[in-house]
Amino acid sequence: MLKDFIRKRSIHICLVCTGGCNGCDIEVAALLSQRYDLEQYGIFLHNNPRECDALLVTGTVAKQWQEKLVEFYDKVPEPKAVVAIGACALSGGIFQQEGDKVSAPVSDIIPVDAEVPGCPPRPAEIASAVLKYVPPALASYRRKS
Amino acid sequence: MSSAIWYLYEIARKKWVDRFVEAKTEPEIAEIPSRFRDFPEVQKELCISCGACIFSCPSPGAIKLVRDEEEELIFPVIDVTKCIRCGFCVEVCPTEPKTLVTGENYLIMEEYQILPKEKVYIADEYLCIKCKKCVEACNIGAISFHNNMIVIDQSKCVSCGDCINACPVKGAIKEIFILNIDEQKEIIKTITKDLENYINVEIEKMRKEPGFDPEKIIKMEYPLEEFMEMGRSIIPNEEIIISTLEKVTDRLKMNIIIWDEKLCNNCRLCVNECPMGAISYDEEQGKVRRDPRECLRCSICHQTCPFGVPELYVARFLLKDEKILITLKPSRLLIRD
Amino acid sequence: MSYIPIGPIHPGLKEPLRLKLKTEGENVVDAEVDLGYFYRGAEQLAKGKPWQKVAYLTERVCGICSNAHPITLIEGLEKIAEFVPSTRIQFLRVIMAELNRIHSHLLANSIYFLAIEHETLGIYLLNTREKILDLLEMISGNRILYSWNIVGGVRMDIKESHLKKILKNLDEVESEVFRNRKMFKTGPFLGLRSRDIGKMSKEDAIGARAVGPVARGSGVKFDWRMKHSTYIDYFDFEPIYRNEGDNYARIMNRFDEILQSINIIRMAIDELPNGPIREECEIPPGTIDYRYEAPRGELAYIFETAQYGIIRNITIRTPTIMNLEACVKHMFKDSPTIADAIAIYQTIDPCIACTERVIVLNEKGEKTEFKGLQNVVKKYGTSPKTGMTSQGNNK
Ligand code: SF4
Repeated sequence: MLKDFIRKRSIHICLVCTGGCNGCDIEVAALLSQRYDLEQYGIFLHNNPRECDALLVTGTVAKQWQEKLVEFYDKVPEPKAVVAIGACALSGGIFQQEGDKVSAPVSDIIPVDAEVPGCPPRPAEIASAVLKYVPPALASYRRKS
Repeated sequence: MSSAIWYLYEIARKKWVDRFVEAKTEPEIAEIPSRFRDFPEVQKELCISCGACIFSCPSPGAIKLVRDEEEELIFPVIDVTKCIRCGFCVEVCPTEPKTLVTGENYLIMEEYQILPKEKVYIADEYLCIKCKKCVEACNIGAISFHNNMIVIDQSKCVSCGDCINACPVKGAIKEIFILNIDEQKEIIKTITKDLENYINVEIEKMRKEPGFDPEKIIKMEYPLEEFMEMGRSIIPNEEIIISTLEKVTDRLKMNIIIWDEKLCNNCRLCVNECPMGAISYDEEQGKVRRDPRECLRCSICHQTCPFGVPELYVARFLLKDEKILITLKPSRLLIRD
Repeated sequence: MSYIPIGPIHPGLKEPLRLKLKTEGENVVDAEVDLGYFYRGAEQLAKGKPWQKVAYLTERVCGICSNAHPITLIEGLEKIAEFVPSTRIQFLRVIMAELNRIHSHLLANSIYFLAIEHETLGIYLLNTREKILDLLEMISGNRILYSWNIVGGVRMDIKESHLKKILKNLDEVESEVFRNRKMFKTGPFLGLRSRDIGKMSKEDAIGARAVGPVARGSGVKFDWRMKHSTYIDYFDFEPIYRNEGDNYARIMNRFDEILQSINIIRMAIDELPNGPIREECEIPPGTIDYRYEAPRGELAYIFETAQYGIIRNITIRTPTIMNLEACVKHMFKDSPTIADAIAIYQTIDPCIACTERVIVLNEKGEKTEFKGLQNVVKKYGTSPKTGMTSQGNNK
């Protein structure tokens, strides 16, 4: 009970970029600025998988990431949620063509809870998606187990 | 530590009081500027199903044309997971007003279309019968008729292929794939080489059979399956291969030279006649030899030889049901006796 | 002596990359860079595509210099076609390029301040950057990927009402940058973390072929804008450079370039001529080597076109390749602590998405480790006579 309550109000997210163009990553970084001020919603952005609740995955999955992403996902303590950001993570976008070297989408490799389409999505869209989908995903996980 | 000092400094400056009092959400978070390119909206009724948006889309598979059975409409559908919000489809849409709308891109109406094309359509003057059916069929008005000629305006054309469907003459409007011209050349090269080898082998076989009449027309079939497999490794698109083959076989006329060594009397008349130096005399073995790689198939040796060693056939081709039909005619050129 | 691996995902690095630091106690003696977490094969995809699609692809090579990449391609194509755009088009392109440069430099500096844990300044700069992003979005329709440049002109015009907003926002940005610059210049702790750290001499900078603000921070007075026809004809452009060659110089150089860019935009808006914003231009077959000053330095595009504007072959060389080399070879030697190594790494403004231009595979298609040119030597028997570094080779 108490855990759920607290978890809803303080989400730690970890940003992983798996190839792409950086556009989505800097839009996530823009969320830190005073205008969007991610921390007022209780979201804390860092890069440490071992102490986060939700993974933000951006980018097409480059060759090196295929196995590493699974390892990375396993490091995240449970309950966990995954948000895929951008056309790259959802379908490979412009890089998913004949003769490509990527293995998008992300959902083929790890389970994805929420998707934010766009190339890149606006920061407001990312923030609202995280706030809308991550707490229920965390809560439902608990019920399952 | 240093940041703490800066906080102290900021507090000392007292500016924070003003900011605290005036704090409010900035309008830019909620307001989206008018030029913002969101996922395009589709106005189904306006679509002429030309496919320009599909050709233009840099992210493959983001736009699909869908047919709605009930409303009898064909219209584009956008897959939001693949769309990269570049707005190019909106820009190239040729309808007026535009079928697709996003940001302010739908206001772009340039004279000069920059649609990237996979195919170019060209009217063939000689075959055209000037029926003007294509002019009516074109939804965009890219085809015009003046100076007694059909002219396709390449800067307006969206490569929809309506004109080819309307044209009653086969080959009067030509469809050229421009993305892989080099590969198409390679296909043409290999098919001609294959065909020649095939004909050579077959004729050799036939000659050995009793009752072979050198004056008769010979017919044979070249099965395409093997070739298609090889072709797919060059161009993965079967449609392009078939259309290239069609274009080749319609036009191709091949001279085939069969060198029958048994008849040769080593008179060496042909050696000096050959313009390429493909025929040589081998002193050690006392034999005249021909190098097929150098040979131009000009038939001079055929006209020179008094014994009929080089024999000339003219081959024509037709592509039909996965096969190339070959007709071989012995050349009508007189043989000097 | 011990090795400390950092990355690929690490709080200090914003993009995936593995740094292997060789340390003696706290001192960093040497470093090794392992790339490959970002490879997408943009050049392979671009081959045999019409330029319209390649322009979108090059924009997505890097999301931060997303104006520099397409404009290098497009101006190169225009050079092949021997097409000279109208003065208005040239001015509009300059405005856009400089706005993009300001946004990139602000982001670079802000990430440096976040890396040395001075969050206040870092987040101030991020907020200032939002104002520039607003302008970019207002002009082109997207915050990051503009899709605004095309061969023969630009897609949308900058109207009078837009100009007013640009000037207003630029005034705000200028005053904020002045204030932040003063904080950086006079702050004692900031100075302690920045001055005399990560030094690189002018000779080393030239030897490592460093480009952009990294080279200019070490006293190399060069900028590709000096050779760009628009800048020569209409703006008397002088590159800004400093002689210190340390972290402080590189960051200060960026601050000064922001102010310079603001002045260039003001000049361009003052003299903005009238004219068409888009003209007809057909692209004949040809080849070109075109260079342009991206926010991070020299950006080179070498490509070959076929008929109907199809790109036959393309090679992209991005600035971070050389800067990373300079950083690893020369700057890390001077790093007193490991924490400073990260700070030094951030001052070169690394953009890994740009840098990933090559991946080395074995016969089965798996990634292998690339150790200099040994792999190549093993395969071909003799050593190929190239002076290029491992990252510089295009596969
Ligand atoms: S979705 Fe678009 S903006 Fe995001 S990383 Fe991919 S290409 Fe860049």
